[in-house]
Amino acid sequence: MKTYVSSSESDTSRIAREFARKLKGGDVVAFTGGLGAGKTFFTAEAVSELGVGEYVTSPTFAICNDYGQTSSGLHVYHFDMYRVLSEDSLYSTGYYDYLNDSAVLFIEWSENVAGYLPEDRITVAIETTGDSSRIITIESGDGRW
Amino acid sequence: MVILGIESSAVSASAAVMRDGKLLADFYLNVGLTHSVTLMPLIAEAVKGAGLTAADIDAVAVTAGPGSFTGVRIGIATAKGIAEPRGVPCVPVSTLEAIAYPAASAGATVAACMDARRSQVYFGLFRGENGRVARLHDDCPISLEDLAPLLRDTGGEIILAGDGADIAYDYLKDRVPGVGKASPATRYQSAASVCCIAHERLSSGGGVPPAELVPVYLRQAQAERVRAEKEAECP
Repeated sequence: MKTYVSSSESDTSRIAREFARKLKGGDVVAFTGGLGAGKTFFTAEAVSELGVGEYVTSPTFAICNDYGQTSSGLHVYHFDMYRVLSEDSLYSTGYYDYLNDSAVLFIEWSENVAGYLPEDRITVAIETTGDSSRIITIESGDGRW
Repeated sequence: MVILGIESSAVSASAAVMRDGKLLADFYLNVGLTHSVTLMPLIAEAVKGAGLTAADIDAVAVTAGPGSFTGVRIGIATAKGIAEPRGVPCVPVSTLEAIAYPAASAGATVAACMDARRSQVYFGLFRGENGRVARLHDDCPISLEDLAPLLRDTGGEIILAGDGADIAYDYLKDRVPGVGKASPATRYQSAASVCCIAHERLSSGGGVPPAELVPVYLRQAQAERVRAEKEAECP
């Protein structure tokens, strides 16, 4: 587990971009943190570092944004589970169809579907500590974080 | 009678053409979930390869589920789109029956299992009798824990097939005497099996108008849940 203290958007950008460089195919990135914590900002910076997703927005209504493939062949998807509250709902978003060894999934509001995400997911918890300060805790089961 | 068979319920996609019970073309791809890109060219090649055109198709058969949410929808939408303008019937085929068909039609008892995650499978039970495949249990989602006693009660040799065969076998091998796995050649659903099942069904008057062809997820879709919740709030 790694914990970062961010005191500005540029700090968060640096943390997110460093994070993105360690991602690999099959990774599921599960965010927690309330409204305005910066989950979408973190995702936008990470996705930008991967070289895809020029226009990253929270897929609150679309449920899933598809940012296409990176130059190294990773397919990047961005989910928002704010309105997805059961396994049947998760199934009908098509979520299970996106899981594979060449995909990276960024999942906002992962707490809503925590019981159904892979056990080896990477969790990114963003805690708001002030107007522009955050504590970001990243954890993975394989020692990368 | 020319039947176009379509199968896109999981990771593979296939299209087949059968005329009067004879399989003329059988095209298959397993290159990831890209059915929206691969399925129509497969169908076009299968029909063309059989020396036919769209005008020759008398019925469109398709795996109607269970399976991947998007895969099932793509298959159903494609079948409807081909059948509706020509006014020909559709034949919905259970994905589990299509999985069981190759081994069951040879006389075996087959438990078709699709991985439904978290130690659950979509399950259907079939047995070959006099060259036909009879259903012994309705399609349902079931935990492996509940599947074991059900198959013990069935008894005899039981062949597991489908993309859930491996996880089911690992759990059941020490709990249910007589279970084995189908060979990879006869383990999965295919458009060829869909055609065979549809051929039998059409000869006994089966088939539905395209408008009545619906997916069978064995789960409630999100939009239906939301509607049910709203209707419960505002009767």
